Amino acid sequence: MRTLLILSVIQTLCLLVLVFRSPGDPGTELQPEARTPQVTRNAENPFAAPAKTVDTGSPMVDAATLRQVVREELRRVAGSLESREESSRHVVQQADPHQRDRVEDRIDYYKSVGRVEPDELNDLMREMGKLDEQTRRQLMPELMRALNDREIDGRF
Amino acid sequence: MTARKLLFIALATVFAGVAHAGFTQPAPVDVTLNGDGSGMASGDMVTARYAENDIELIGCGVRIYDLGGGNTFEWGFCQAEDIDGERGFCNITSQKLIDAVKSTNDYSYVVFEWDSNGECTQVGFSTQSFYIPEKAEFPGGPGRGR
Repeated sequence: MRTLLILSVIQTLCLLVLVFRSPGDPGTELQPEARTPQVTRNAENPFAAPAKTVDTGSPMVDAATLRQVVREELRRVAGSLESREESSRHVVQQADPHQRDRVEDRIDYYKSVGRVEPDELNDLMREMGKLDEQTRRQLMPELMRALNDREIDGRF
Repeated sequence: MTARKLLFIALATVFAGVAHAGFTQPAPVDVTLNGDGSGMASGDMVTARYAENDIELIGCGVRIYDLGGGNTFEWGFCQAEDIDGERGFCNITSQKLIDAVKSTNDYSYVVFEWDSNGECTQVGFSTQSFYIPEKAEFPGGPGRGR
């Protein structure tokens, strides 16, 4: 996704530079001689259509300038992507602060009854998924040990 | 003459049955529990499914939960119980192991190990012809319709 976004930005930039750079721009204009149409004829066959290069009037873009523009735009895009990722991580990490208590209470409840049904276990895992990774790493072993020790009788 | 013919037919029937058997190697579920909470389990799923008891089981699975807001939680697990009632559960957080679980087959031999925290440290699958039961052994089982 990130690669596609960067490629589309580069493509857009190139198009914009080509469209909006004026022919009179001293930084980009070709030497006058280079813009003269080159016409060559086939010496052996004077009636052959001449091969020629035609100047369409398109301005040449300085490669260094284009690279600089692309670099700046990539920096800007990368920055916005990073901040978006951070904000999504931020959302998960700042999940409900009582979520840990809820999950722990449910594990304790299943320990007290000694049993858990598969759909209850499935739902408990969904709640586990809402925890931040650190908390999940703390509570998951508790559940696994309870199942392995038969403190909770159940199956996934 | 008639006795010889009958003997020939009997022998042909026996050898014909053997010729179509193929090599089989059922692997009943076996769970080993260590004192520190770690352990290991192995077995093939077909043998567990058609065992003459309602205890044996083995397998692994993956669950993917949509938590809303673009967040998902992917999680894997393995579980097994042998004829002695010994159970093993472990959870999988490693993406590579989760991907391995997704590749399991109906006739797979499964082996998994876990550490003292119940985290799967190894998950293995083997799909071999010798784990597929013979048609006659499991009427209505995998061989049905063939």
